[in-house]
Amino acid sequence: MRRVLPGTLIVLLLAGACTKQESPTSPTPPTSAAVSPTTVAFTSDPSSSVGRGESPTYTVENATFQVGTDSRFISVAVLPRGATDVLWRFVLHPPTGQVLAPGTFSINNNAGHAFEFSSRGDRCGGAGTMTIEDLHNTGGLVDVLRVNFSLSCGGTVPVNGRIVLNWVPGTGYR
Amino acid sequence: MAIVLVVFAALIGSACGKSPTAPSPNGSNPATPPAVSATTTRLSFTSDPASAVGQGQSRTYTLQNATFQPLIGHAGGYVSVVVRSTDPSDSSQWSAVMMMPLGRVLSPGTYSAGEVSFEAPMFNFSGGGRACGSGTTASFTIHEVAVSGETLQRLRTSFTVYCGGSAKVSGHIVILADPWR
Repeated sequence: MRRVLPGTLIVLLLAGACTKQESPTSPTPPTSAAVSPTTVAFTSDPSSSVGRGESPTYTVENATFQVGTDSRFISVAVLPRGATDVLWRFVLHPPTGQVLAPGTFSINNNAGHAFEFSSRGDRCGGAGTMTIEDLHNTGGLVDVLRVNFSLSCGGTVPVNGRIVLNWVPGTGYR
Repeated sequence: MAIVLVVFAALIGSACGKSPTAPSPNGSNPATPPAVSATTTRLSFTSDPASAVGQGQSRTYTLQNATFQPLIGHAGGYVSVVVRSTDPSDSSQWSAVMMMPLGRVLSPGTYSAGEVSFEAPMFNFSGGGRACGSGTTASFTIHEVAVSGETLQRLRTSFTVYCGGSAKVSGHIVILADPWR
């Protein structure tokens, strides 16, 4: 994690420099709930094309996180410690004409992606919902993100998950 | 301090600019194949029978028989293209996703994907209800890419994906969206 953070910080600063500095989020400061630790967790059914029955929970203790953003788009990559065959990627993108902000988005490929989940050469772009509980983006840096998602990945049971990002200045995602 | 600012400014220019970036030693090759010459938007691919994606099928989609939905992110570092058949006899949907390591934009060059690393490019191709799975490797070449704001104006790319073995699916994607044609 420590090796990744300086580079990530630079990337995030660059992303911020590229944006128009427009924030889709409320200007209110993070709430107390924002201290939730950085976590990516999901449950998947064996029939799911992404996940394939895995139901992991990742924190900074067992994975490294890489987060990128621009004015409308957030990507979160999770590399489990010691993993040689899997890197989970999540992409949040609002439907056309909208911005990412607290609220519930329908994930509908016909209206533009709102959430994408990929790993091991596959991408899950099915239908579902994404609920952003909190999002604070300061100068191209995602300080706080709390989002729940439920996404059909080709199987009979949707993948359900939660992403929590909590940026601690001077430390990184914790 | 001045050196730091110069380096930072150079990095900003690299990340924000639309000009090609120098091929990286990690996952790219400076040898660029001939450009895809199609003059209309299309996805075409051929696949080996043993390929998890395609399974021996060959398809060509254009604006006459499909819809194309490109999506840009990370100031040009991420491109996805979803193609849906509009032919009543073909309900399939195909998607290709290209993503560069953070801080880099897609630019002409040939890239290798499949390494499990934050620093490696990513390429996914799936469709017809099938995906590759573990061990997927890919090579993709960006012949041309033009982005304006959050809009993909032009993209010409070719790709070969190995779904964990020697069977492959190879194809081309051309997006001409300024205007669509």
